[in-house]
Amino acid sequence: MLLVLCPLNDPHALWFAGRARAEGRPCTVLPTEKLSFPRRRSHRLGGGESQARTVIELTDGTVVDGARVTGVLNRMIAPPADAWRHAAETERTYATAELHAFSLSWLSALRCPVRNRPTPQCLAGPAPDTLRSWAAAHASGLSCAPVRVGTADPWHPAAAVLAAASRASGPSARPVHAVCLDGTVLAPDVPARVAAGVAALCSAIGADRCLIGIDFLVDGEDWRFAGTSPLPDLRAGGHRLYRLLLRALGQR
Amino acid sequence: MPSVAELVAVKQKVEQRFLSQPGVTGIDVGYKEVGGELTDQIAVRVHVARKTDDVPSADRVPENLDGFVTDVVERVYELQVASRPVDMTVQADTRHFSTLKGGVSMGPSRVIDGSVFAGTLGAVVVDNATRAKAALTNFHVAAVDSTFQTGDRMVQPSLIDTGAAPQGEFGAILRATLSAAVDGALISIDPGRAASCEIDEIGPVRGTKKATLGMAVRKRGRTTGLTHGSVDGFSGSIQVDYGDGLGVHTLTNQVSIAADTSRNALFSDHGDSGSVIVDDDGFVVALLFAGAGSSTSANPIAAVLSELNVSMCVPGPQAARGGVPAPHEKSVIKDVRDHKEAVKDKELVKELTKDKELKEFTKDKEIAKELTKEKDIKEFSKDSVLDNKTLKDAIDHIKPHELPPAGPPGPGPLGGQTSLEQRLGAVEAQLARLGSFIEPQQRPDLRGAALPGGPQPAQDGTEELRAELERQVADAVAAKSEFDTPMA
Repeated sequence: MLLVLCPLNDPHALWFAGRARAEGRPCTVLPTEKLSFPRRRSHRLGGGESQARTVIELTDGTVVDGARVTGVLNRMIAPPADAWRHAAETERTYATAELHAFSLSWLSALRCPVRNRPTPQCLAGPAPDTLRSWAAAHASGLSCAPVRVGTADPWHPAAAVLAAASRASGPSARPVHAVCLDGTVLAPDVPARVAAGVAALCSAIGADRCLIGIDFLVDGEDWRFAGTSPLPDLRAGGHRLYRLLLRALGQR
Repeated sequence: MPSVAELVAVKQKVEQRFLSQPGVTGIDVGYKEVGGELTDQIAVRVHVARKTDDVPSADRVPENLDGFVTDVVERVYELQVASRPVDMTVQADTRHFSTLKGGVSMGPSRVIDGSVFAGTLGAVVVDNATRAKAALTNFHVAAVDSTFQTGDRMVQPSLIDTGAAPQGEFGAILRATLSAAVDGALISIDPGRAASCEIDEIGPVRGTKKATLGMAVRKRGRTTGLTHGSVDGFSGSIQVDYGDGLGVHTLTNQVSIAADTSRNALFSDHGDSGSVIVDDDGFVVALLFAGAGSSTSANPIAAVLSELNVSMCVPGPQAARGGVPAPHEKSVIKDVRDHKEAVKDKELVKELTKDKELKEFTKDKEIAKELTKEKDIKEFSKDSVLDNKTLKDAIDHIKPHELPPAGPPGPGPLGGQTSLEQRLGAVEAQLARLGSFIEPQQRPDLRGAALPGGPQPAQDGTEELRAELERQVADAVAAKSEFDTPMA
């Protein structure tokens, strides 16, 4: 069974699931909001051959058994804690932390292919500090505009990287949101050195077995790095991405 | 019906007698409470720490005073400042602003008795002595106790809220007063540091007004953010413990605010001290300093401005960056320059506001925006949610401005969860310094497919799936609620 984890407002995940279902594939979409209201969760670690066993029983009778899941598209950015929204702050914080830990452990321990496995920074996958991404991109040979970030600057570093790329690019620069699957960039006309740089970048930030988006400002031959995201625009990747992602998730 | 003046006269006549009794925390004129609800009847209200029948009959509050109705309300006033030992952090508003404005976190740079303190920078004001812009907050936020000195440095945000000294310091105490009516402090703003005459989430300040009974008000504070309430009492004399070194102070002629509990349980909490209280039209009426549960106490703004010798900063062509010239000092040339700057800022904001592409570049917002465009979620909410509070919360959860309380920790592409308005504010500030930034034609357009020849993003096909999933979520919420409800 293919499992798609996402918030309700993720059109990209729904697009992917819709295509899979249209092809007759067994695909369960589990919105974070629904996962917040289960009947029961069971998560056992250690013991026996299987290092972890997770069973989630939903209120409609659906049982999500980790052992029967064959592939997971994970775009869950927040722990499924909606049921605690009206609890006292301390209890809500505690419950959210527990559910974050549960989600992290569950998705990390699944033995089937998962894109993406969670990281301590983000449940949806690699989301390093943007400046770290910038440094990794620079070390990977990608073109990176000098970035200035200081305590007096109001920018979030992501905006600072974008601003730097924009300032360094000419007025004719065009934006490209490149979807990268397992280190391979899926965008047209990507120069070989950029593709190699992307592969190195993915490796450097622990995304070589992940689905991420990388932003560029392209000015002629110059592909200037402008940021990364663990939630790429899947629809932009079209049918090619759909097929490659299915394969990465172990689907035939 | 008695006049308010008559009630105030009666209150003043009995004030000292009641305030000298143990357990009495204040007295004012305001709306009488019945069963925890405010009525329209105005009464002389005696505030007590705890209602009890164990009071000698001679000390009891009579039902009438000189023929006027009385009321007894339970209120123990606490300063609305947040303090923590230095090794603990309970952060509330961690935003760093290069352009200072009202409603944001601030606190002293120094550690006082092993603790750091956080309050709110209420508003930007103009020092009548120098015509320079300065920041307004409470005495107990900036000075904290009797060990303070003029020149003590302040940091934005506070040390509790990731502020750091000296990098985050923005000014120093110019004047501080803890008088019979005012708990206020004036903080200088360092040269080169920009300041705006507006309050976060409220907007530009239009001036000042006197608080009147029943007036709808709001404030933006470091801890509880933007909250709403109404003036339910005035002419209050309340007793507040300022701690070691200062002791209990009685502040007179105070304004009382009741929380609008349909919108927020509390009007203020610890950390909101120093916020200014503003009416619906943007006029400042009071300076918040203490609270008792859902009730908040504040200094009338006229007394604050008078004692600190400041004027409220009001945006306009006369409000120059870094200072406001006195009328006789203001040159025609400066007028023209100010006007140009104001026009330039407005144009930039206008351009940014209408530029959808900039908004779309923040991907998390983009998704949320797509969601709000779609009718089915609204219809779903309308059809299924009205009588199910929990389900409504689940649906609210996906609105862009109400992301979960504990999202992915740490920075990164998903880390910025501030509102679009705040981001635009930051962009505006940066733009003002840089002159130009990202031209419209340079901004990424993520709406189209990156792969030519591939299918364009289509809405069709997903609506049905999402409607189905929304129904499943609704069912799950309902089933879980039923499951969790104890058997009768």
